[in-house]
Amino acid sequence: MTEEMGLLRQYGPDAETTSDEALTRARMQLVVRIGSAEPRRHHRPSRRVLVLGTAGAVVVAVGAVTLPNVFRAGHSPKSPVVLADFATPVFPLDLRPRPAGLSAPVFTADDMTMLTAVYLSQSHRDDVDVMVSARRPVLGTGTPVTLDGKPATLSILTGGNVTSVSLTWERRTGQWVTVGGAGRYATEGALRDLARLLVDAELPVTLQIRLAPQGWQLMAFKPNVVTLADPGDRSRTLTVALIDAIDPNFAHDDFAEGPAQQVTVNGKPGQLIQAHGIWILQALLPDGSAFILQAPTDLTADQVLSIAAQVAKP
Amino acid sequence: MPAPDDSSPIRLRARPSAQIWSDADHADDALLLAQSCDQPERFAAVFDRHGSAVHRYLARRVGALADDLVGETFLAAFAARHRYRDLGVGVRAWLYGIATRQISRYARTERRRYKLLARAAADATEVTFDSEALAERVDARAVRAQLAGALAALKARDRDVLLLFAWGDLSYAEIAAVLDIPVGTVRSRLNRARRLTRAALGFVETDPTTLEGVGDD
Repeated sequence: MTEEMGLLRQYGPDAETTSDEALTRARMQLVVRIGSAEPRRHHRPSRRVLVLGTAGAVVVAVGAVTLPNVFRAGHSPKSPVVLADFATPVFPLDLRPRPAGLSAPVFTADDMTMLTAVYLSQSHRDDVDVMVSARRPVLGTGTPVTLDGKPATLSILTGGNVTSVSLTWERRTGQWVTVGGAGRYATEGALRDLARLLVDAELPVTLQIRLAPQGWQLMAFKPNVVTLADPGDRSRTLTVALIDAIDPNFAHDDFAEGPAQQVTVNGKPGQLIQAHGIWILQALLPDGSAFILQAPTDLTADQVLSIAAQVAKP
Repeated sequence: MPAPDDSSPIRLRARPSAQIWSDADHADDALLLAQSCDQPERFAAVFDRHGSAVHRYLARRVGALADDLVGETFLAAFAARHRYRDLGVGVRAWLYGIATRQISRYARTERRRYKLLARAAADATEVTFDSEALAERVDARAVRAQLAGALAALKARDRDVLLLFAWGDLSYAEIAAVLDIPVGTVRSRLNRARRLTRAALGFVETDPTTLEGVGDD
């Protein structure tokens, strides 16, 4: 072992004590996602139509997920980029009244076959998830039950010191719902109580994209991050993320190729750089919130700025 | 190069045995992943086996942000589990690669963290290593500050390779596979990162071939 490598291993920056709560939450997210997964039947992706919200907004999603820049299924010729109006989907359900101890929902999706609303608990042990999909999720082993006279499936997933229980049923035609709970919500009775609290709603995700490359689809989102992708080449992605504050060193980043362009977005100053085939824009929303927008350089700078000017909070 | 004597407060420890995986461990992990393609619930065991290690790797690099990124890493891994076999690497190496991709979106956060850590020990005595003899007592805090400063100064892509090698215990071939870059690129980035790290530590290079054969130890 060389000296500097040994020193780096022993005296390099260390991690704070691993948070059991963080690992528990991460595992629960994974367990919830596993609960809605379908086993692979074939290699080719299948198309599904996901109906969201009572307004009938439709998002066409590709079932297979490709991770850009890491695992590529293959490349397709890039098509010219034309911008068009874009409508960010809404989440169609809500728990009302929201049980005490649960926060307002945050939303996530890793592919657009399933959207999840996560109600985090103040205790950090009693989180609740509500998932919606257009098709019946694969549940693995489960117990058939009934919910309001409809067939349902009760599933229990246990691993390590974490138990997650979920209840799945077709709430209405084409709307499959899975309510999952941990801690004090990890019982059939608690899940039935939660199911009774579900009402129709149109809850927007935190970040709204209103202009995007034509044909691009919502690929994934978190509370403050949204990613769109070209369905013909999912390595082409556009990501918008809220950040805490404008980075004064943004223009001096070591991966920028060339100097930053000083631009104006929403009447406020911003900076635009290129880095390895990607535009990176740092700008402000009308309310002063800072955000980053990343897009491939086959968009023009003007297109990037036009998209940025249409980013909004709900 | 002489080893430090027992009175030195800095002892270069051997690689912890817990990080050395047997072929049987690799086979079990690979089997789990293969099974999870048709039995998704099997993937939870992958988290149980590797979640803590991945979280610690993330936390060493980006601090508290690791609490969010560990979940995103395993969600991404679950989505990509069908392609794991094509890489020909161990499961943990594969996971570290995905974690590193997650970190790439937060390069500035990582660099800021290292700068803060370096400044926290800014008043520590700077020490110089003579590469031919480790004879003097070393202030561990100063070493930590120098290392943090060195990491902050690296290009993100060089830092990725260095820390996958140093903290992830990945081989050249594994790093190349999980980052999807040529092995030669791994070697050149690692050599550059090591050279800059040694310079930050004040090493005096008397042998131009010091950095040759990286990965052979």
